[in-house]
Amino acid sequence: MTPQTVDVLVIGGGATGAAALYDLARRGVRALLVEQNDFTTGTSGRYHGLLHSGGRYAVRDPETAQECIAENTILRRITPFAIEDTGGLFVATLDDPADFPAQWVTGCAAAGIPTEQLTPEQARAQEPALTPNITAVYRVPDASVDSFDLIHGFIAAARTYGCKTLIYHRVTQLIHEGDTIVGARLEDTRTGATRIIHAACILNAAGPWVSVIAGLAGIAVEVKFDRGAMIAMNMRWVNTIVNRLRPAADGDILVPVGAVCVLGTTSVMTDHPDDYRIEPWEVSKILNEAEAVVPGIRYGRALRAWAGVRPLYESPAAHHNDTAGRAVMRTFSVLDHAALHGVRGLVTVVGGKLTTCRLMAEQTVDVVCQQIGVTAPCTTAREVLPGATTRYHRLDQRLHRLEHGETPGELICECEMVTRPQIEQAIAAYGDQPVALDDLRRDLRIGMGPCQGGFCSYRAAAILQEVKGHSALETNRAFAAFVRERYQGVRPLLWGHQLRQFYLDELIYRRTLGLDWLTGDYDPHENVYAEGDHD
Amino acid sequence: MTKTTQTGSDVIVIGAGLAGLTAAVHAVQTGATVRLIAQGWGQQIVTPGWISVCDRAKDDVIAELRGYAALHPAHPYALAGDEGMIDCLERFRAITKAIGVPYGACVKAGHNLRLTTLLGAIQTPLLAPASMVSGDLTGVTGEILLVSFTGWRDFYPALAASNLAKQGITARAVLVDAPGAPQAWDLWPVELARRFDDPALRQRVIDQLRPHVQNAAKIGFPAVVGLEQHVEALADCTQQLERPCFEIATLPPSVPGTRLSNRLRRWLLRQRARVQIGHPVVHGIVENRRCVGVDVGALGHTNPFYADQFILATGGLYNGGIQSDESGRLWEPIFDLPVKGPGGTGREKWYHANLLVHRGHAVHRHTGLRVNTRMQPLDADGAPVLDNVYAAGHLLTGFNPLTDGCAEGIALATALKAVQVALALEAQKSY
Amino acid sequence: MTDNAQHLIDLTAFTADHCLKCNICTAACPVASITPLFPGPKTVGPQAQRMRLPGAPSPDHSIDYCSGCGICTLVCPHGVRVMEINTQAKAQMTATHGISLRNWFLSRNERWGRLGTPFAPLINFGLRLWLARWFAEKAVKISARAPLPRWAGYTFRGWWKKQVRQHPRPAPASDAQRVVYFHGCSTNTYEPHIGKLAVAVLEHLGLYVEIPPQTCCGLPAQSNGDFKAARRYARKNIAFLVDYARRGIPIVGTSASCMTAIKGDYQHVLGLDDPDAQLVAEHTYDFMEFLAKLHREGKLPTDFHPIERELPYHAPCQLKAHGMGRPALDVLDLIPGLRCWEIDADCCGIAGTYGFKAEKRAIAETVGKPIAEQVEAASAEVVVCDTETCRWQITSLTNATTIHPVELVAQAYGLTVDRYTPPVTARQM
Repeated sequence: MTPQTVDVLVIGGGATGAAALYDLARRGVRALLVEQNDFTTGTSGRYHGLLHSGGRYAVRDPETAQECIAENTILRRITPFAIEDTGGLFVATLDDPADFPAQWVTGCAAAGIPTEQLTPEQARAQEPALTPNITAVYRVPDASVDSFDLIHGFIAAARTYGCKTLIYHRVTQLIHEGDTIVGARLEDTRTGATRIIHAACILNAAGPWVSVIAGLAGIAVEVKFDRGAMIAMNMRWVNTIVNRLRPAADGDILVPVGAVCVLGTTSVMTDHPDDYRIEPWEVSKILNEAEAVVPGIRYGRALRAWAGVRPLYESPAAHHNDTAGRAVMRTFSVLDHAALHGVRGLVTVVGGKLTTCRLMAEQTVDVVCQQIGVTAPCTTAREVLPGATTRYHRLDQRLHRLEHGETPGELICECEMVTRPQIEQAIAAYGDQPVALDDLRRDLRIGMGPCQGGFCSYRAAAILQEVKGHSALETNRAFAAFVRERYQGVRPLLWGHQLRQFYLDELIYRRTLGLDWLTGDYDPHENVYAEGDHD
Repeated sequence: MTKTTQTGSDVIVIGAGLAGLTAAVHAVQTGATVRLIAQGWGQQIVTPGWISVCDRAKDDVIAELRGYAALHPAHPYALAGDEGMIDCLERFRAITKAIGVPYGACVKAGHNLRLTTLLGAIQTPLLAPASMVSGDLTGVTGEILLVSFTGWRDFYPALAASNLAKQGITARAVLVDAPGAPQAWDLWPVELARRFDDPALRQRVIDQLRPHVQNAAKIGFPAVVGLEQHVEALADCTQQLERPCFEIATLPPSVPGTRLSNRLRRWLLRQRARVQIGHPVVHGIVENRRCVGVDVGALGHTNPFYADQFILATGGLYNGGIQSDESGRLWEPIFDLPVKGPGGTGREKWYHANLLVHRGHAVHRHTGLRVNTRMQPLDADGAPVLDNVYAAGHLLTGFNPLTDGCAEGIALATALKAVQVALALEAQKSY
Repeated sequence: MTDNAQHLIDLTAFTADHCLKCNICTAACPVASITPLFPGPKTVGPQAQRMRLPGAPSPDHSIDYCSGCGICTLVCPHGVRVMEINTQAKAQMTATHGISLRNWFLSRNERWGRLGTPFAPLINFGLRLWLARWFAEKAVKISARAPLPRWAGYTFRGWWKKQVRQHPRPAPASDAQRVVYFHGCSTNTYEPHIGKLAVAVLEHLGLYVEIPPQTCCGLPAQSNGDFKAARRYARKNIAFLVDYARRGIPIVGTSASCMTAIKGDYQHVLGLDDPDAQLVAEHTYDFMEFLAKLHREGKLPTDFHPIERELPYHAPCQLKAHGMGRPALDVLDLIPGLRCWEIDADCCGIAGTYGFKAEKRAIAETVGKPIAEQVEAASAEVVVCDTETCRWQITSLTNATTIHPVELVAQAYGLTVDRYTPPVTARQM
């Protein structure tokens, strides 16, 4: 049963919120995390997977660079299961400013980031796909991190200390007692039911939505929204992270994470925290930039595109004029609203990076603990998460487990090697809560491979029906909702082989299964033969 | 290109889908020497296996088609012509009967079948493998028994039953043990089908089913009832369970499609046609608006093959007959024939925001070659590009193979028309 | 697109990028549907490929049951080199876990052929003893039912050397009249008559035959995952042949599978992508492909004696991999009276060395069943086929006599060689 009174209510199921919950748990605080969707659905889940060494910030933002290298080292120690130790390269090409590498090396040295210069031949021996036009290349301790695994890891660890979580609940109101926030009203986004949680303090880690939450307390927090698009290529074109060695610009990272290679990113200022649009120029831009470092990559198969919104914040005190996008520092700010606005019981954390999520959590929880009178120090940096493996994640783990009989049962998602017992177990973990196929995707990676659910969504929908006893209508809707969601991330990339893939997927949905006939909105009188285009 | 001596075949068919295979059959039947060249197997291995001609027709399918073709002269059906439409269906039924995978139609003459899908939706093709025709729901009032196998990932009969119930059809689901050894990860439809070929393994399924038959009017299996011995396997089930047994199309790969492809290939080989599957035709060798041969991309060096007539049935965007790139360019890779697209700049008009939009996506409806009534690809001015190259099947523009319920009908009709024109021309030239 | 870009996309491992999971390859795989031990070409190929780290120890073992026949690559409409991906993964498995004595033994057929020649009668007798076969199955896991060749007792190369010594030939006026013959190990030690017939046919066409030094094509080592050995063989052959290729002299061979290795596998499987390998590949032809090419160019005399026979023909999977169609059928069609038809079968089951392995013999026999059925239904006593191991397998499955198409061509040209009795004879005019 969800507790109605807790010590701290954490708002936001991204990396910072999850790390904060874990930090609170280790300090013996009873905390509840509330998330408006599922975990990892906001900025943290719309992420490229680069665990920064800090090299990217070495020249322009030394503070962030220092934070990154320190936190990179700590996360490798405490959450190795979510990290693949790919290492990273910074590569300058003939097109890049010739004087930048020297500045960069100096910056890295100052920030304490270890670098090792390679010859272009050494780099190409390690990564044969790299361009021959390399002018300078350095090795840095970048790694790739799976933000789903990271966040699920923090949450699971926090639960072992007794902390609780509540997903698909939105905070609709903060409850005041004078100048103090004492709790929040939550609404179940799926049923509309409301509940009230009392808390001694609220930790606002809502990412792009922090100003919405602060607004509920009548506090204005100015956040800028910086939208960035990423593309996952179907294959690992490189097995080491590749950064362009030049001042930060669009499309200068290639991140091998899981079975794919993520290309990123763009930077577009927007007015909305949930503006996930991807414009055609962004796709072209990202592919063209990647092409300069890995020639041929733009002819490979782009699997999926997504956009994330970076919440950028600059304290009013240190305000530069007209800074936007990449020019805004990537450090973070902890806003103690008691000190800043005279409102007790609410602490906001904003800005920052996934790489520094633990540090953000630590400094925010320090302020929260001060308010609620807890003196225990932060201990999250010390050791690996309870119960977790001390080995790095390896790409071949799933294949190894499958081949060695450790994951028995029929293979439901062939691409990502997810079995029926795993799906049943994941469904069971939700208890009597509703489960969407998309939740199972985040739990298990079903539908995240090349076919994007073409084969497994029917199977998973039917299993969900069997386990939960759903009606035909509910099942058809769950099925259709999932394949539509998958489609959104593929639509910007439908040409060549990914277009062929979606033809096959559509063929399965429409012809083999007749899903389009059963989704309830079929118009039998529509003239499907009519000439002309739809909107 | 050096001029070669005439050592080619009468016809080269490019593509091994339904259009390519049936074109080769027609050509062989007229006595031509035929070489079929394809990069790989065609779409029939992934489609459900039935023949959609005009799925939306409520009564007389051919009448509906005729009416439609009369109103839309640019539609492939109109181009292929009336007689072709009827003729190709009859020929298809005849050849499938001859090779031992007979296709059948609804008992109500000229009407579409009503077949359940794995999900319990009802699809309405005109022809289907006989094994599916026995599952026609037209006029069925009794209960349908839907059978799948415990631990088999590709058919969940309870879901189908619940969807059928919504449509007023009573269905009951039953799970029995799969024939043969259980398999750790994957049990492919084709592998199951092979097990059904074995009378002893089949018997174990039939014995398990007996107590579940009860009042069932028909018994539906996933389409895995036998591969080589399919007709015998299904007849055995029907006889022992004393109910019409039928098959339901599975997720790819399609066993009915595999049966059809295998049998057609065997037939063609026995008629001494060449069937070369595995390497793409990389380009056409054209002299004075005539194609004299095609180069096949092969190991070491390309290999040329010569012929008098060429049937291009390489498929649409799915099978690579038409290629596309990020910039929105659409092209035909062998002859660089002019391709019609959905219009607009880049890829903006290709896809609708809603995946399951009922009219389907513009890119599939509009992308393809424009042809004349002789199936000759046309240039922008409407003139034929090459004298002896004819296009058939998904390669043509003007229909959406995923939503219009006519994909196979168009493949059959245009393939027949292409062969008829090609070989008539050949006769004119020789005599 | 730059050359570098094109090159990368052409790499075998990257063709997995094109896989749509449609499972056409699984439907066509002759092995997956008859044994639960092999989960299928897509599963162990492009699907597993996404989860393999280059150079890392192999995590999978089920790939061992892939026979390497390559039907998967042929049926894929999207250009995935499935078999090649699988063979590379098999090599990684061998690199991780080592090669078994049996597979090592099978990979070095070239050695056993040579070493066994002086003892041919003894070996031929010994290997047909039930006890010896039983022992071989128990001790080294070589199936007692697998077809074994007979040692000829002399080598083709030995014969050729003597021939050249005894009948000195005038050097041709130009390289255009030269041709290199690649005989392969089997012709050298087991079936020298095929080499002798091939030489006779080439000389009949007025060509000056050269037979440079050569070694095993490397295919047996490659299909057993021993890439180190396979590359060693490949490099030697390239070195032996490249000068001829440079001079534009065609290299022809009567073993369609050896020619597949030289034309394709050296680059696409073994990853030898130097210009020499490419050059040799460009100039290499299967024997019947070469005749078909001459015919297309109007250079093949067609004054054939009639052969009044209807014969089934099996196109080996390795031959299908060439992408050259069925040149044997195209050429044999020119012989009056001869009606050859192609058996509808993907693979005879032997797949090089696969069908010799005790644990895989039953699979190999089931795979080859369609051939046996069709040959039986046609009551054929002679089957035509271009590769040696397939011929042995077909003989063991059907009891039919199996011949290389060159035997028919030579017969139709009226050519004979010593120590050879043609199983099919032409009507002499």
